[in-house]
Amino acid sequence: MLKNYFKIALRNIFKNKVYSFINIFGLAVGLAATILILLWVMDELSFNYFNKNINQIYLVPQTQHYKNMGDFTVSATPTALAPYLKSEYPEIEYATRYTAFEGEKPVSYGDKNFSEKVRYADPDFFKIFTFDFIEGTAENAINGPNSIVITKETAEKYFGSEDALGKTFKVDGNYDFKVTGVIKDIPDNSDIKFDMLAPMKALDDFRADLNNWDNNRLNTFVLLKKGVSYKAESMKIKTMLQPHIQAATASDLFLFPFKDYHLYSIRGTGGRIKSVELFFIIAFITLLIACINFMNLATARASKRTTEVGIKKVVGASRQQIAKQFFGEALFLTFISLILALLLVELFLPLFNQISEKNLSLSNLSAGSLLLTIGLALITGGIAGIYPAVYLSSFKPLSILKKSGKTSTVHFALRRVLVVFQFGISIFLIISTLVVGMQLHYLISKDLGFDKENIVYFPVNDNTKSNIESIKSELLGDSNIKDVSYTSNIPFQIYSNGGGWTWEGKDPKQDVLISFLGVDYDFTKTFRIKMSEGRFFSQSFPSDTANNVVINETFAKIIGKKNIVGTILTSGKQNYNVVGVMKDFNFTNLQTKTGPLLAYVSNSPNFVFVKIASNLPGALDYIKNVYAEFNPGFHLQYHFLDETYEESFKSETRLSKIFNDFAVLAIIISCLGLFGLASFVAEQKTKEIGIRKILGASSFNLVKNLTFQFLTWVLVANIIAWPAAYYYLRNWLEDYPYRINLNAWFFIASGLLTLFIAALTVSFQAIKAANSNPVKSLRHE
Amino acid sequence: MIKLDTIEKFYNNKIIKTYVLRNINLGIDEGEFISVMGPSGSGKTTLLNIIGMLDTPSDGEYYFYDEPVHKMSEKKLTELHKTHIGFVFQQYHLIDELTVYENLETPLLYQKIKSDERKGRIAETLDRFNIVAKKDLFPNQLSGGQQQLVAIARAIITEPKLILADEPTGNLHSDQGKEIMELLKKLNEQGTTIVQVTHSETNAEYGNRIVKLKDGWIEK
Repeated sequence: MLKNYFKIALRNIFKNKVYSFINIFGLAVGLAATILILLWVMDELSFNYFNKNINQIYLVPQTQHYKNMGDFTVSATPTALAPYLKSEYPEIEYATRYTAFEGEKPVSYGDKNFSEKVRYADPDFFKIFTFDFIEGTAENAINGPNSIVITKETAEKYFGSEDALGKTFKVDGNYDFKVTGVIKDIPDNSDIKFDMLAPMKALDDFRADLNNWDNNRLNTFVLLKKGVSYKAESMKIKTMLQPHIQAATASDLFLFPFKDYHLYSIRGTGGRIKSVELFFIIAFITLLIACINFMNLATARASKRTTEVGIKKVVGASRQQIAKQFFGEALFLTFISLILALLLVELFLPLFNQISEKNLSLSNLSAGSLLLTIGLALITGGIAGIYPAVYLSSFKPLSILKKSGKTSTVHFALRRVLVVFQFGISIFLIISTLVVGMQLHYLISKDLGFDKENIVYFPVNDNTKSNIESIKSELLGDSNIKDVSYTSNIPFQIYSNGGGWTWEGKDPKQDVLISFLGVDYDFTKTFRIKMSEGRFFSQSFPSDTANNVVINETFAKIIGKKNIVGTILTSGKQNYNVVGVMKDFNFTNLQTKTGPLLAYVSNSPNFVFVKIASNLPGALDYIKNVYAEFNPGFHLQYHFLDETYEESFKSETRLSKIFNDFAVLAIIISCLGLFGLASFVAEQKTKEIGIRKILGASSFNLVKNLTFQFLTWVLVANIIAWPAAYYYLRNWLEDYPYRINLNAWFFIASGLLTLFIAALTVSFQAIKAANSNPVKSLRHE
Repeated sequence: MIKLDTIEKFYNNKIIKTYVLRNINLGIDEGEFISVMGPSGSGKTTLLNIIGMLDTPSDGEYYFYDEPVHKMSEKKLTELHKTHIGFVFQQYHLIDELTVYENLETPLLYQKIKSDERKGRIAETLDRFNIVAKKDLFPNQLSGGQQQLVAIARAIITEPKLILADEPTGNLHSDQGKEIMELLKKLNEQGTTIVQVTHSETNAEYGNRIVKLKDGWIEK
């Protein structure tokens, strides 16, 4: 019996090559997309779970309360916090500081030098997080002040196959560190990533006050003792910061579960979980579209199978036997699709990895996820197969055999609904692609209020810092270089801020969060920022380096006086004199509306910006030479400012790409389905077309009639998809303070595009049918 | 063997009741060869389908070997026509995807007959119908007459007591038609009861009784 089913299934596949291809390929594409996304989702969900104690690990962030700006939650905490928490709260077993915010540092060993992610932490770090040691031990690896733990990859880069233990690195120019441990490479699915980890103590010696309560500069992680309720503990530490800090701003500490660290935002809303959910839904929808195709084509093909069903029933097959046969056939096709899907996954993984910036592979599919994939195929086959099975097996043998093969039109209604649904989804995705793409383009090309073109920048290390003025004047010596400026921050990434500022006439109840930017005299000149009042800093005013400040227009508006210049701003016991107001520029990547900004002269910059006028390669060589002169043995690590800006929209770019790819996928699968259906309708109507032709209908007329029917469906799909897309995209755009308007043409263009593609798909079949010889088709009937 | 008692068949089409069969009283004995004749639309095929349990009468009683068919469940009916009745159609109705051999095998599969016995019976039937050489061909590789031959072979392979043939020669030219009729006659002589629907007087002559239908009534 099985053999008989199998034979019929196989012969049907080969007999109807086009339909079989559409069915199998469509389903395979849907399955492949789903598997890819599931791989991605599983990777996202697995983040940080290699840490054995993950359920006891917590980050300690703080929420600062500003009366006018609301709450502001940051993961940065003071350096004194971790040791204090550990000593004062017995429920906290271990606590460590971790310098998550440091940039890359130049590292050298002999003649080898590279930039490395050097992080600092307390010895408890290796008791909290699970990193396996290849050399050295977790217990005392970073106990000594100059000890350093490196990853295997880093060890190989510097020492090749030699033992790393005991070797001495130079970090950031002057500081010597001795390797006391080598750990296995950090898994891709870890949020804590470093090339080298040095003890906090090392920082104490030269750069940071490790007992400071007012400077939020690093992360604090704790490990709670087993059985301690983190919510209770969170309440306990809530207000502990208050007595220690000087700022007037109220600030609450809390515990944030490390297992949620990757997917959820400490601010309570947003986070990667949004993408995970979205992708999951998209995967599901893609699969659904493919399943719908399958159902559609299977029922359409039913007309060809009616005789078979009739005969089988006449010779004694029961309904269950027929249903089983068709159900089995669906499963069989699904498994062929699954095999093809796995091949497709293998083929597209590199591309997918590139888009998603991951290192996923099929080979490390666990037994669990393999089962999941097979389960997925079974469910797909089940969903896709159950309807044709029920439908086909319900045929009464008499009606089939009498009429020699005609399907009822009742089921055509269902097919119509399915096609409308499919196209609705495709249209939704196309609109989303357009809007996300346009928003991305808008963000990238929006005028931030300063000029970011032709600017090369590089980070400043301790070496460069002390010679910053000499470097600047030497750089300006090249005719290709127009301007040079050094600042504390990249102008669109200013995230250092504070409250507690007062001025004459300020509402005492109001606390304003103000962002700070340290600059040199050429800041406005280099970035082409205009002044709206007063003047910018200048060498000719010696007091500029002491207590003169320049503020932005937003700040000026908050102060709300006519003549801002001369206003005295007070922070703590210090007074500052406003000498000028510069035009607003957006300093937070357009993530928030421009807020109040205060600029001060600083000779301790973190970045040097070089505006290049001509001959880029020549200028770059020149910059490299100057850099090398002041940093013997180190290579310049430079970036282009506009590129850095574009990179800051990674998540939007990724979303845009994903929408794009899935819109294309959805439309391909939908069109495959439509093609199959159209060819069926054309085939079913062969006789009608023949008669109409004999009666004098023109080919054009026939094509029009055939095509029009399908296009009506797509039109209906548009009407359903538009409000859904509008609702979703309006919500999405609301997260952006700077956003495009939802123009009607996004919707109309998507509608026209789908109509065009659908018309193309259908008319191919329609033309074929309309041009066939009527005599032939009628004789065939 | 078969007893039809005041069988009626009608369709309710909105207000009008359309009668297809009226007051049919018919007995068929084992071993008979009956030809049902009549003009188009006289209800011949409907009568055949009711006898074959593919259709149900609107009214009246039907006894098959003294069992009341009109009271049977769907399952019982399937069982009954699976084991007792073979069908032959004007359009042959072979399964296109299966070879001659596999077409013959299909009814045996549904009767859950074991592989060895299946092979034996198919071989025997192929031999009996002289189509051994054609066993691996597909229906579309055969002529109409050959296809009908296979269809009849398929109908009798389960050794039914009754064969119902609906214009078995309607699509064939006369030589082939004659061959098929000879075959049916031979089967009848070997003990199978046959009911055929036909237009042709010549073909009707092969039977030993003619039932004439007109507008749903049996002509006396």
